[in-house]
Amino acid sequence: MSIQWENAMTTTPQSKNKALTATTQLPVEPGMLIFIAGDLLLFSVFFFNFLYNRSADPELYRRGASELSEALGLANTLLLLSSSWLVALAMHALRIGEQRRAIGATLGGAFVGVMFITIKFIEYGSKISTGFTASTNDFFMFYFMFTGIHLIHVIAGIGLLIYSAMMMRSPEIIKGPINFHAVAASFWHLVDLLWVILFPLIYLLR
Amino acid sequence: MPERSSRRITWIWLLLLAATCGTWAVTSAAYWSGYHQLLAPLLFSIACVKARIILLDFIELRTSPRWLRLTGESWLAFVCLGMIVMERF
Repeated sequence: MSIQWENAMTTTPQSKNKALTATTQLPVEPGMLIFIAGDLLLFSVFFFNFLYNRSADPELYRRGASELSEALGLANTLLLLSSSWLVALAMHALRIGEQRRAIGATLGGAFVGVMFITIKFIEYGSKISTGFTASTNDFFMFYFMFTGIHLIHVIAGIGLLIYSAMMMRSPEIIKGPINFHAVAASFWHLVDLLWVILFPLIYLLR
Repeated sequence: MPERSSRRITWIWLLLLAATCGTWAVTSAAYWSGYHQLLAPLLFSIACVKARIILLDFIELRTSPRWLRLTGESWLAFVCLGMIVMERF
C-alpha cells in the first residue's frame, strides 16, 4: 500500500463537501506526524507522573487546585477550542479555493491564541503575587512546569499560524501554502488537545 | 456518511464547547453535593472523548490510513485508562 503524504489539492478547487472515509493519504507530512506522536508521548508521561506524585499526597494537590481559578482555566479552554475551530475552517477554505477566508480565519485563530496567552499571564501574575511559585510545593511545581511548557507550544503555534497566513497571500492556490497550513493546523490542534486534558487534570481534579 | 464541510466543523466546535461547559458544571455540582470521589473517571473520560474528536476531525485522522487512526485512538484509550487507574490507586 503506497502512502501519500501530499495533500490531494491541485490548482483546481475541490468540491465543497468531501466524504469522510479512510484514505491512503496522511493528514500532514510524516515529519510533523512524528513530532505530534513524540509530543503526545511526552505529555502522557507528564500526566502519569502528575497522578503518581498526587497519589502520595492527594490533599496537597486538592488544596493546590482550589487555589487556581477555574473560571480562567475554563475561559482558556473555550478560547483554545474556538481558535482550533477557526484554524480548521481555514483549512477547509483553502481546499475549496477561498483564499481570503482562509487568511482571515487563520489570523483569527492566531488572535484568539494571543488572548489565551494574555489570560495565562494574568493567571501567573495572580498566583505569583499571592505567593505561589514553582518552588511552593509539588503541585505548583507541576502547575507552572506543565502549563509553562504548554504555553511555549502556544507561542510557537501562533508563529506558525501567522507565517501560514502570510504564505496564503500567494496570487493563486498552490500546494505549498496548503501543505504548510496542514503543518501549522496540526500543531495547533495538538496544542488544543493537550490543554483539553491538562485543564481537568490540574484545575478540576479535587 | 458524513462529509467534510464548514457546517460540520462548526457543529463539532459547538459540541466541544458544550462538553467543556457541561464538564465544569457537573464538576461544580458534584463537589457541592459531596460526590466528588466519583468524578475523576468521568472527568478523564469526557476529556479523552473531546481529545478523540480533535484527533479525528481537526487533526483529520478520520480520513487517514486506518493504521494511523488505530494508533491514535489506542494511545488515547491507554492514556484515559491509565489516568483513571492511577487516580484511584
